Amino acid sequence: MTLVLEREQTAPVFATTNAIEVIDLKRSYRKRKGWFRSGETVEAVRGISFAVPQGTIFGMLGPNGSGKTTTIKMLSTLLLPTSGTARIGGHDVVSDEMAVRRELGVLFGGDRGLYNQLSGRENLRYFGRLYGMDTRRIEQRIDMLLERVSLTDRASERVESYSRGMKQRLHIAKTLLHEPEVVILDEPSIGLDPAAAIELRQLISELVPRYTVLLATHDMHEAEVLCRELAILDKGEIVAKGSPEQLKSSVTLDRQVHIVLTQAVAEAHLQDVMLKLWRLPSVNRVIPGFDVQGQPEITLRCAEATRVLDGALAILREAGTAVRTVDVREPSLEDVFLQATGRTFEPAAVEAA
Amino acid sequence: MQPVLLANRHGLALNWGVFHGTIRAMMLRWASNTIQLVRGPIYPLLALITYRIIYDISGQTTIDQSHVMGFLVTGILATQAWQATVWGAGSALQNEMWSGTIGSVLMAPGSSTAVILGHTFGNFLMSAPSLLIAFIAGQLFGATYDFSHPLAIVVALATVYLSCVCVGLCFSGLFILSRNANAFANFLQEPIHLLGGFFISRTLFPDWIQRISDIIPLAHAVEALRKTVLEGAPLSGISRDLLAAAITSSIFAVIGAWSLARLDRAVRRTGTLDLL
Repeated sequence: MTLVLEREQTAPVFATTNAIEVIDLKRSYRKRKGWFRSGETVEAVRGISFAVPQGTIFGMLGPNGSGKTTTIKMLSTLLLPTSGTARIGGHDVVSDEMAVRRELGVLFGGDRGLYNQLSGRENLRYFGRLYGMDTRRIEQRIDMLLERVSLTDRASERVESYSRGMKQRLHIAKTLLHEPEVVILDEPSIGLDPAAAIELRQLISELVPRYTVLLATHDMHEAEVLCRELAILDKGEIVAKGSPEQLKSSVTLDRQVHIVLTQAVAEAHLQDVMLKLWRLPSVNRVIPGFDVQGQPEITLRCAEATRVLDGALAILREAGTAVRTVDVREPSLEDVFLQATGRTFEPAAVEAA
Repeated sequence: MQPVLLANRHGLALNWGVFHGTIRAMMLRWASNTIQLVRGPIYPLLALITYRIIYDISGQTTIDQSHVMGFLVTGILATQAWQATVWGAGSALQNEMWSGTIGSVLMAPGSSTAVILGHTFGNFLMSAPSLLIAFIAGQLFGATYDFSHPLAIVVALATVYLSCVCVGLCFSGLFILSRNANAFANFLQEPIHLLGGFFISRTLFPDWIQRISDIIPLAHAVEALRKTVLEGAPLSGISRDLLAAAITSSIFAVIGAWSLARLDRAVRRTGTLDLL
C-alpha cells in the first residue's frame, strides 16, 4: 500500500499499514421534493478523515442520521463522494472501484440481503459466483464458513426459516466468502436479541487480525467492547476520535458516586454531613435525594471517585447511618457524545440528517 | 496487503460464472414457488382460449391465410418470449432491490449485465413448459404446423428471443434508473403486443401504425416464425424478416449496452438504488 499523504496538523498522517484511509470525505445531496420543486441541499457527510490500521476493528459510532451509512456506501463504492478521498487497500473508491470491490466484504444491516427462497448454502454459492470463485473453492469456503458461524446443520434449509440471528451469521459468512481484506459491518447486531447479539459480537471479535473491520453501530456497548479505535459521528462530522479508554478519560464531566442508605440522615445532622462531604477532595456537588425505589440516597459529583469513596463512607458511618449500596458511575461513551455535542445520544433526540 | 483474489476468475470467465450462477439461483427460487409452477403453464392457455373466443365471435377463421389457432399459438409464443426476456431483464435488478441484495450484487466484481442476462435466460427456460402446452393446445383446437424446415424454425424462434433480449436490455437501464420497472413493463406490454402483431395481423393496421411497428424487432421475428411454422418457409423465405429483426435489434442492443454502461456510474452518483 502506498503512503497517501502528509498534510497539515488537521489531517492524519497515514502509515503504510493502513487498510482504510479516509481524507476529508464529503457527501451532499439534494432532497427531492417533486417534479418542479428543487429541495434543499443536505450535507450528509461533512469532511471526515480517519485511518484504520490493518488487522484492527475501527468503530463508527453515532445516532441515526449521523452519516455512518452514507460513509459506508462511499467506502463500498455504491455512492460517489462529493469531494475528498477514500482508499481501501490503497485503491481509490472512485477511480479504482473494481479493485476495491475485490478487497471488500460488506454486511449491510437489517433483515434483508439474502435470497429467502434459497438455502443458506445456495445463497453462498451464488455470491461466490458473483466474485468469480471456482466451484471447488466456493465449496471449500462454504464448508469452512458455515462451520465457523455454526450453521452447518441448517445449511440446506431455506433462509426464510432462519431466525434473525442465524441470518446475521449467514450474512457474516457471505461477507467473508471471497476472502476480502477489509470487512465493513453496518449495524450487524441491529434487531438481534441479547443472546444472539453476544454471539455475533464474539464472532466479530474473532475476525481480527486476519481481517480489518470497520464497524458502524449506534450501540455504545458494542463499540466499546469490540473496537480498538472509535470515531464518534454527529450530523456528518467526527466529533471525537480515539480508543474507548482515551475517549472516556477525555471527559471532563463529573463522575457520579451514588450512595444508597438504609435510613435517611437525621434532619439535625444533614447540613453538617453534606458540608463534610462537600469538603472531600475533588467533590463539586452533594445532592441528597431518593433512588428509584424510594430509598434515601446521596449523590456526589466529583472529578475522581477513588479519592472520595473512603472519606464519604466514614462520614456517613460517623453520622450513624448504614450504607446499602455504592454505585460509581465512570464516564461512558454517551458522556463523550454529550460533551462533544451538548446533546444526549438518544436516537429520538437526534434530528435525522 | 496481499492480492488474495488473483486466483479468482476475471473478464469473460467471471461473467460466464455470474451468468449461469444467476440462472441456477433463479431456477431454484422459481422451483420453490408453487404458485409460479402452476400459474406458468396455465396463463398462455387462458390467453389462447380468450383470443380464440374473440375470433370465433368475429366469425374469422383464418388470418393471413393461416388457421386462427396457428396464428394465435405463435402469438402466444411471442408473448411468452416477451414476458420471459423483457420482464426478466427489466425487473432483474428490481427483484434484487426487493430482496435487499442489490448492494451485494452491484458491489461484486461480476457485471450487472451478466446478472440481467442470467435472469433473462432463466425466465426463458422457465417458460419452456408453457410453450409446449400452448403448442399442444393449438393443435388440439385446429392449428396445423409445417415442420418441413426445422432449421428455419429454430432460427426464427431464436430471433424472437434475441429480439426480446435486445429490447429488454434497452429498457433495463431505464427501468432501474426510473426505479419502477414493473410500471414501465406493464405500460409497454399492450402496445408491444399490438405493434408486434402477436394476436392481430399487422396487415390490418393503418399505414402509419405499420411504420411504427416496423421499428419493433419482435414484429419481424414473429412474422418469420409464422412463415416457418405455419407455411413451411425455408431460411431463404424469411431472410428479409431476419435482416429487419437483426437491424432493429441491434439498435435496441446498442442503446441497452450504452445505458447499462452508464448505469453503474449513475446509481453511484445518485445513491438511491437501494432505497426502494
